[in-house]
Amino acid sequence: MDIEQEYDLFVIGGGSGGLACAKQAAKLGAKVALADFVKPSPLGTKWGLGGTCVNVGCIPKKLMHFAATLGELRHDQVEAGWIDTQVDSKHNWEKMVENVNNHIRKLNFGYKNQLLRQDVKYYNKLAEFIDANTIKLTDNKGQIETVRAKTILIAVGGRPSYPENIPNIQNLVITSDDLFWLQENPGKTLVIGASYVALECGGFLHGIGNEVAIMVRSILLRGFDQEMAEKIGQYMEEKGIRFIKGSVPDMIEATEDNKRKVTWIINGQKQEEIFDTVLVATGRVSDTQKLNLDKVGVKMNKNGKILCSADDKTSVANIFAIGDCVEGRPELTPTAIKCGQLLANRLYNNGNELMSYEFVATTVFTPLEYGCIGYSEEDAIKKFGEEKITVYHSIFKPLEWNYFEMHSGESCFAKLIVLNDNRRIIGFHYLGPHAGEVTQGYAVAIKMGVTKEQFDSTVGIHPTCSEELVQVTAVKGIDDAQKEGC
Amino acid sequence: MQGHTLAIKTFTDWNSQVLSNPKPVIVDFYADWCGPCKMLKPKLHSLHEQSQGKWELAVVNVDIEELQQISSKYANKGIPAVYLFHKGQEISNFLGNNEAKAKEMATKATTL
Repeated sequence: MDIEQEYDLFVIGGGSGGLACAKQAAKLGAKVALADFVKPSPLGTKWGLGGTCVNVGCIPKKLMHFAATLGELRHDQVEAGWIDTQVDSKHNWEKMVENVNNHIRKLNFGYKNQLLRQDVKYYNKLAEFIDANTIKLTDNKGQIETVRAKTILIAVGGRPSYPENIPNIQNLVITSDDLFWLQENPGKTLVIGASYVALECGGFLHGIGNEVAIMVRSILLRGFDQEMAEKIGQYMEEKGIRFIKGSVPDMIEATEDNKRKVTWIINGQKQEEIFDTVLVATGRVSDTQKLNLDKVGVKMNKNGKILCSADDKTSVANIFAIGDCVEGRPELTPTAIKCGQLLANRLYNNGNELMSYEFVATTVFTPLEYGCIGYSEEDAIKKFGEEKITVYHSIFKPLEWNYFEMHSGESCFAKLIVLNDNRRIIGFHYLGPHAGEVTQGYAVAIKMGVTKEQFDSTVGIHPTCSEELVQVTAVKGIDDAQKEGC
Repeated sequence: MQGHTLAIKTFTDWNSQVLSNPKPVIVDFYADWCGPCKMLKPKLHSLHEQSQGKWELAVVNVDIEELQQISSKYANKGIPAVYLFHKGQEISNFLGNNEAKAKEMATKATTL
């Protein structure tokens, strides 16, 4: 086998982390190549360059969530005076999916061209290690070529995992890999899972008019602040999304007309129901199985996640790993991007800055959105002790919600967790409209060590929801979160 | 006179209908998600209809997998990317929804 190309850096995986590192390294003068290959989902769904976020994650999710919120706004439109708004008009799934998919293809094209312009060689091939410096590349026709590189970066991300107790499940259910490319509305859908993927997808499917049930084994949004998670679930239930709690599916079968019969057990009783579609969102697994990592000595945990030190080095000196496939990293695009850029700086520009995962802001795009920075209340108590923190909380109602009377005055909620010693805000939690936009600015302040008093001395912008955060005075355990009076 | 457009779908199409075409060929690299492409298309069609058969109009959808190598070569600076080929040689090209450049290219194609 002819070994031809030799690179300074070979990146396996063209997602958020891989692309960022490849582009930055090339900018710094390294000879870089990147291999990206999408193994089709069990149902055959595949997509182009850009990784999970662009193709089957953040981007389509946010666009579909937005589509659903536009539907809900119809009621507000009527009360705000618009004539001829039809609150019951139907949603055209095909039109939404076509527009979403076209936008994604535009991004795929843009990334491909970016690589070309920055002299990063792009292989649309499946990569596998032969040894620590040699990679085997296989294209979709089975043709093989080999490349060598001084340094290799693994940025292969993850894929949805499936429950193991149901036979043939991969052919009976869809996952987030399939949902955003479905050519037909999934209809009456059962979502299995309590992750943000499950809640976000179940949320927008309901918002566009589908009947949705969400089956959760125990708690919602494990790892997130549980008071916030409960409120998110409550809001979704009030909107008409059915939660089947304390259950996992026992059996899923295809019916004669290609629907899905799902059986589960609650309190010892067997329940069953027919759905058009079952969407599984019970977790993701690192996509490292076919890389041949054992052969080269790259150590992983039992779930396939690669073990790395704080400088992204694996157990093999010239092999690095970043993003979702690494143990202990948040599964987020912006952290993977920044991590990739900093790694390139350290490798090719004498940089020494390591990625910091402290106070990373995120937002969950459930029907009522949730933005957070820093510690959940549970984690703050665990780390510092209940007596060492003060929690401020507030229930509020967005001004715009006063047109349509069905909006609740008690759903939106803000919470700040303050460390008593130095009065630093170590936890920020906002449940309300435009959570991503509200939360982002505060992330700067919190990373800089802002105190509750500095928040209090900041004049709010009126009338907004965000101003609640610089005006909250009620202390949890002493004061009611709800303001009294009109 | 009805002009008909050559839809290039395979590598073979490219070789036979663009590179080996005895007439000059104006090739439009486009995508369904590209707004300026949608605006340029009818202008190219109209120029082609007025050309009295002196040159051919071919279109290449850059999302077609089999044509990736060709699309990467010609559309890597963006789309719409329009090229004038004659006897397998690239004569000229322009980028974007540019009516003036399209007219210029059409005029050039008639003189070849």
